[in-house]
Amino acid sequence: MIIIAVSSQKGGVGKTTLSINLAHSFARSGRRTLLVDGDPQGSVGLSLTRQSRNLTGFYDFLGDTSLSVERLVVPTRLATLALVAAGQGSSYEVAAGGYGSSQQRVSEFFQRVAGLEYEICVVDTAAGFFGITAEVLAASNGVLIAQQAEPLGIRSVPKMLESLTRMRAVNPRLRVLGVVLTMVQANLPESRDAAQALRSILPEGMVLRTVVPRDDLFIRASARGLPVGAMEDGAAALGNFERMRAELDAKLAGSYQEGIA
Amino acid sequence: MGAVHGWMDESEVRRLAEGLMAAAPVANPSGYDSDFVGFAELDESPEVAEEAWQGAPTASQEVADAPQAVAGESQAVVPNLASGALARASERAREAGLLRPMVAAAEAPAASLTDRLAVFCGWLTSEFGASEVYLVDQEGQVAFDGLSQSKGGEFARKLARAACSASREAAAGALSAPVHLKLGHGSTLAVFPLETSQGVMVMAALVPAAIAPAAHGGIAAELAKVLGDERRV
Repeated sequence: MIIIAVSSQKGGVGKTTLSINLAHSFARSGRRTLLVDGDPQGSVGLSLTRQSRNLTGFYDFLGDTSLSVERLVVPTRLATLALVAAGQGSSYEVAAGGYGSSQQRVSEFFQRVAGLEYEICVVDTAAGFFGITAEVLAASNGVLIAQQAEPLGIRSVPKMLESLTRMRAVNPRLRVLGVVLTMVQANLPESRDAAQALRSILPEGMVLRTVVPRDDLFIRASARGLPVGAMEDGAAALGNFERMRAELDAKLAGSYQEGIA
Repeated sequence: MGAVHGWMDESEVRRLAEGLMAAAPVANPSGYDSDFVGFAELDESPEVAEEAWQGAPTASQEVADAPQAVAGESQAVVPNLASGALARASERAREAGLLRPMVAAAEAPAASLTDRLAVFCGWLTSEFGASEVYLVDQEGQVAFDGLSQSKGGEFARKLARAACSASREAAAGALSAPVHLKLGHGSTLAVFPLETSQGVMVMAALVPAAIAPAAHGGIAAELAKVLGDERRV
């Protein structure tokens, strides 16, 4: 099983949108995919289910050793896609399970998910690289960074790179799959310039060719509890995420050859 | 683009990014480096065992004899932490005012079990140079996990849990045998049981050299103090 954490330095940059639609794309390719809501805000659940507030989920598992992962998995209409909500125990983050105990439980969670024979596990994480997000990254194979294509968003890039460098010291096998530019506005010079600046500064191949545009389609899809690819007018957006998934497949294939994944 | 380039140290950003895109060096898939030679040899001569233990004053002696020295000692005791995991645990304990020479559990400020175990691990680091520590109780429940996520760390966890099972199945009063695996130059994985009145706990620790069996009792005693087990002191 490949665990891909979707992370960012700042909040509100489109991690949840990216996580949902990427997981949907992986599942559409025929791979059994589990989407995990690792954000105490429960954004994935809020976007995809009406009853997310009542669902037992990831944070409940961290705080309750009697819970089984099977109990947490919520199937979707796509047979190859299931999700685990954030759960009711999101106060776990605040109460602090104590260093050492949470890492063990996070690792156990992924071990048990692997035992359910999922091929891909996409984890939507809370913003920043500390707390449970750090524990998730410590257990992940790869990380995808959502980066807002706006001047103010770009300013968080140095901090993001420093945080990731520290995470790699903890988990040397963590592969930085790339930076995904989100909320790109092609008709706004400042957004275009920010995207171009990032591509020019970062090494070739680090910023994915496929970007996520700012589009009210994502808001409408979230209101209906659907990935954008399932919307009537979502064909173009679906194609976009399929291209992104193909880019990631190529990177993951390279990881296999290196013996990392 | 000027608005972005003007405030960013582009060369530093690029350096960090290139470091991240490069494959991280991994010694070998087993988690052991090319110096792995197998089981470590213990020098079990009485002199070595005695030196290993008597050279380590207990915290209660320091507190009783030299309060000022204790304050300075607490700084000297701050270990050279090789493991990021243990460094974070010790930092949490330090911030909580817990990382100081061991005092009797009754005198220590109230703290969570994890924080108290972090203090114990900090003591192990200062006395034996432990860089990663893992503690599991006789039921197989993890009490503290400071091991890395590498394959070596996973192997150490499995070894500790196996030792736990062995202790449970052993005849009454018997314990699983200590294991020391030399992982490389200056690196040994030590796995051995510690008896407490709450049952056997198994410790796995990455140490510079094997820990002599004669020292295990003292380690168990320090663990007992942390667990508030005055009956075993």
